[in-house]
Amino acid sequence: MSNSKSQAGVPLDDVAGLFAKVGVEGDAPVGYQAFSLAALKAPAAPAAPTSAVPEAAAAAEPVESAAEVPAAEAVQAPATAAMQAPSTGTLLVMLAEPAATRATIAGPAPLRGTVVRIDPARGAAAKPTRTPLEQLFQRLAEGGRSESGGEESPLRRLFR
Amino acid sequence: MNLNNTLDYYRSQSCSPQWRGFLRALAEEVAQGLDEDDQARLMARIGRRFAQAHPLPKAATLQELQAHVDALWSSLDWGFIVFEEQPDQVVIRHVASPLAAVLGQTSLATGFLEGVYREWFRAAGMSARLDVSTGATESPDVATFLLCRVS
Repeated sequence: MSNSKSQAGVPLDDVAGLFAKVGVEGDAPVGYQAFSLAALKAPAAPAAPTSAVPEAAAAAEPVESAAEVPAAEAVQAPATAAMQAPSTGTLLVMLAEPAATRATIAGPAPLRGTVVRIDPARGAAAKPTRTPLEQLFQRLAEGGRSESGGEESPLRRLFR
Repeated sequence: MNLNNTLDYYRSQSCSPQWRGFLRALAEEVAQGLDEDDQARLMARIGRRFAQAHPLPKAATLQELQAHVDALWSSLDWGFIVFEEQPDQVVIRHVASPLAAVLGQTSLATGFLEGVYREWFRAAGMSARLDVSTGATESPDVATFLLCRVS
């Protein structure tokens, strides 16, 4: 242990004390005060929330860039999606997707702060296909209208 | 041998004598009290009840649905059917129903079957923009219905 002291009487290995002594009592430039012990112990400016931000509220806000995403979203939620998803969709879309869908997305993790884009076709591909009978009903309902609302069929005209 | 006589014989046998007189009397009474549209409406409501009491298995295709319908009618000795898919409609032909054999292709007979098919197709997923209606008569033994868009 060293017993050497500075001219201010503060042990040289007590860096914080040295700065405090110099900053408060010495003739050092004002800039040194920024390194004073008091300044170092002062509470830091409130950082971006890292928790207690409801995910639903965050998802309801349009996300333009990762800088606007709450820390909880940027760090926690992407653990299953953004860190794995390819960069082909918006973060908002990604958050709106079911966890099961997100969990299946594979790919290299993007850098933190990047906007992740997901191909919407991925979700559409998971939808169940309609049966031929349902497709027939859909086709008739949309485009299969006959001129007289269904009564004037070719069959009817044939038997007139 | 006359073909019509042969067919008449089969027609006379397709409905039990036990019910023939009753059905004719019932039809005459209803026809006296209701006009054609109301007769068809009444019978369609009865047909709907019948269909609800005889639900069909789930079908993925029109052919499957036809098979289910055919199996049911066959088990009841109510003739057979053919579905024909066309670009703008599905034509339903019901052949040799005992009701038609007794009453002919009247509003009472066709109205009943119209209500049955409407309910079965609704249960199969037919949307509200589609409906089943009675088509033109092709033959005394064939009732024709059309499934197509109505609105």
